[in-house]
Amino acid sequence: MTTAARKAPDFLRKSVIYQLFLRAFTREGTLKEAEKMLPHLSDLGIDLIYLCPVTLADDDADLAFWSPRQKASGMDNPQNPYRVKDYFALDPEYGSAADLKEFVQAAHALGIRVMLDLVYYHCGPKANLIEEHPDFVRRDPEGRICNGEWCFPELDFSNPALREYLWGNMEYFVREFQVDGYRIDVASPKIPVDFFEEAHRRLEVLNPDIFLLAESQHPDNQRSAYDLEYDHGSCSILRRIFLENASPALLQQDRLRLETEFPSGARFMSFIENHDTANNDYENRLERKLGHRGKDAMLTILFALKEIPMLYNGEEAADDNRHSLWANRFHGKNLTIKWENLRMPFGERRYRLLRHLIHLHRTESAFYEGSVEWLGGDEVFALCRTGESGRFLCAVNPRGEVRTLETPLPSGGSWNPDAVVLREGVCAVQNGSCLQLTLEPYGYLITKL
Amino acid sequence: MKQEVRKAPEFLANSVVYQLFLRPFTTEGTLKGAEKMLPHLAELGVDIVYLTPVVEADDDGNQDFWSPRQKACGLGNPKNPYRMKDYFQIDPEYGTDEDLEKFVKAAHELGLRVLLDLVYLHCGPKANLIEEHPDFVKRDKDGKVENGPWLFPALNFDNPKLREYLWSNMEYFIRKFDVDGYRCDVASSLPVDFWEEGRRRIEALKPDVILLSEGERPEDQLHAFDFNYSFKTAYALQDVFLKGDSPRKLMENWNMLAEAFPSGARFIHYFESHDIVSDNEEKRMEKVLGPEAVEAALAVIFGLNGIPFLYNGQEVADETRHSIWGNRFYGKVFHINWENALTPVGRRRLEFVRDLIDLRHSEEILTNGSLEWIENDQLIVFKRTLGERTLLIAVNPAAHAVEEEIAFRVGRVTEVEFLLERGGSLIPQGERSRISLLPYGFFMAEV
Repeated sequence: MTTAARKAPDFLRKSVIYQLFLRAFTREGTLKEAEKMLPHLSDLGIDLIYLCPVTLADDDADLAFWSPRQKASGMDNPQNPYRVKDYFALDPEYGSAADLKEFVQAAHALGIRVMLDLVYYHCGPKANLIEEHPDFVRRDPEGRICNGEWCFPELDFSNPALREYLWGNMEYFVREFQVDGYRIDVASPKIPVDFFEEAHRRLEVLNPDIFLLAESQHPDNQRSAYDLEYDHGSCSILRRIFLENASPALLQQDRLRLETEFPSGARFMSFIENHDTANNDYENRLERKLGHRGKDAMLTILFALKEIPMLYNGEEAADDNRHSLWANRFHGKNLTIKWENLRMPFGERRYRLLRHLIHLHRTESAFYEGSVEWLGGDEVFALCRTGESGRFLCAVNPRGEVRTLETPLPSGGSWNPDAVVLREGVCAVQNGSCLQLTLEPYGYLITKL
Repeated sequence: MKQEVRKAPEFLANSVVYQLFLRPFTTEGTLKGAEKMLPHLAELGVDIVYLTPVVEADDDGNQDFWSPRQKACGLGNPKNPYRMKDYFQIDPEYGTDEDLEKFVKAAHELGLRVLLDLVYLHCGPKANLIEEHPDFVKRDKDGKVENGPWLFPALNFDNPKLREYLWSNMEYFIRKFDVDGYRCDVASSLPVDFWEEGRRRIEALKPDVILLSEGERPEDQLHAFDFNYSFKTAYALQDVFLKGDSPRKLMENWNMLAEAFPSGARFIHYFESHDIVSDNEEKRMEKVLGPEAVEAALAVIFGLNGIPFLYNGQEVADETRHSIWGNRFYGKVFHINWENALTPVGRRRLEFVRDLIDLRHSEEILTNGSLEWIENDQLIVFKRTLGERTLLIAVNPAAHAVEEEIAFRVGRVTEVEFLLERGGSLIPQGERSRISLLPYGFFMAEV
């Protein structure tokens, strides 16, 4: 690729993102309660919160407009946070406009930025925008509304008036609530990228540090519209490796793809779980399928990568509870994060591990901007991160069995037990210019060379 | 000359008890889940974990045998943990024999003792003991089973075989599970000689076993029990905080108990228990009074002579409704709001409770010092004395600031030193002292 990605605010690469899905985050699921938890996120080291949609969800009960997932959830809740009724109103389920303002203010006071979630691909069947502007949604030649992929009315981006309306919406939350950026649901190519190019320009006027995150992966995303996009491979490939015994080399190949198929300097947000995977896993959350130790190892490799890591709602507490997009204080039972885990040994261990990994990502240039050199074989992840702050070896065993690895040390590098940053179940011996590692099931090591 | 209470194991005096009610303790409400929380309790500093009943509850759906509370709770759960079907089985709702064994073992490894809860006044209408031994329950002249005050069949302590049966039940959990003692439900309503013999038998298995009587019968501590509930002080404390009753009520009730009981009697002091919390429904103390008030009440409890008793989640200022009948199958969300441990209010509470327990463990004056009330109109004030030392403890139970002049001479020549203080000051004025306390303020002052 010859083109380069657009310039993004500098803090972005050093950030660790936390997806905060209100409904599952606290029992009440409100902005007010979430605000009380901000010191916890700040202690963890989070500096960027991505808040799932807080605008008014459509409560239309017509099942014809419910997605298959919504029907399958068994929660009987008409309100899908990703099916918006009013783009300018806060959903009273979460609180008031004043609550959102206070939330953002409190986050800022702790040095945390806040991203809202914009759902512009479609809207609810009873969205007030359809009534007020019948030409804002796509229609067939007979004038019937066209539904998009999830059975909801699709917005019509060929209508300049709709574009103005939504730009106004994006400006509104930056101006009135001082939000710092947006996560764009669905994004390219379903929503034209030029819409967001203009959006970026307009928002920069209000806040030069504004940033946009695309949920999609598309080569056009970062030319000038987006600052960051999803790295879906981190989620799906890590699962294949850890759960289905696929080779760690798959991840390496996928990273290569990111380097070759996207503009140079493109930034990606890596993750293991999000509201969708958590919802779709039902009772069988990754923590349960893989066990907490396996998940520890998975998070360690996630943070060893070059991408910008995102944590999902409660991963820091090793939460293994079912979350549903449709469960809240009115629907479903006990589907919120099990915060009690943080009072238990495995939860405390997870919290300490993540605090450490977050600290590395935010402070060590080797992690937030360093180069990556893959050293691993077919069974073990091993890679070297090198930056101004030095060189780090990261090794992770994705298997539930002991594995060994012999890897040549990079020139000038040597094994020094005193330089270990993180170690769980790993034995290392230097043999000439080689390092021999024995990794217990899901063992991991990060060490300075 | 007043009688003396029996000698209790030495550790008891400076122990702190934690009531662990499994159903609201974790999301699942199992022994396994609770076991993972034991390090949390150990870190908090708790010494004794009192586990509400874990033996099999009767699932009889006939509402004639449901207590009014059970019907009123609206959850439709037939199983009341205090209405037993089988005294020797662990209820699968909580886990297995093995889970209880592991729980106790893990607790012991952390230096925690475990009390089980014995419910011997009555049993469930379908208790297998009724079928196997029809004469174990009280019957009227026509042979009909007689129900006790909660509408459940009353056990017949006139029958020596029933006594043998229950003594072996007490022995069973010590022998098989290594538990450290029992909290005995409605104990004062059962013959004291039953408990005295029970104690002799289990002491043979474990010399430092402890027994807690849920009742206020003065004879309890002569030979059978190590400590008692103190409903009188607990209710007075609630009335002072909730209704604004005079703090004198607390002193008077305290004195009544002290007078009635043999000298040296030990009582637990608490602000909440499973009963209080279940009955308060949505009106938890934390909500009605606010966390500051609960902290002031805890300062009283930890300052008094006796054994402080914490309830399930009080250490994180839990404000959730708990129901005796709410569990993972019934009711919506009735378990401890552990997210509080991450919020400013909950963090402060955790730290505060830790501080209180530390004080209890380090200051002998709090555990062994004598107690004397200092009468006044608005504040809870008492002094603790041990040897040369005197602690003055003052708590404002009101939501407004209070200044009081009390008849107390500060003996100390150097400046007053606070062991604990929130929004309070003490100014010596010769024979008297002036106390100022902010709303729900308190202090423990070395004077």
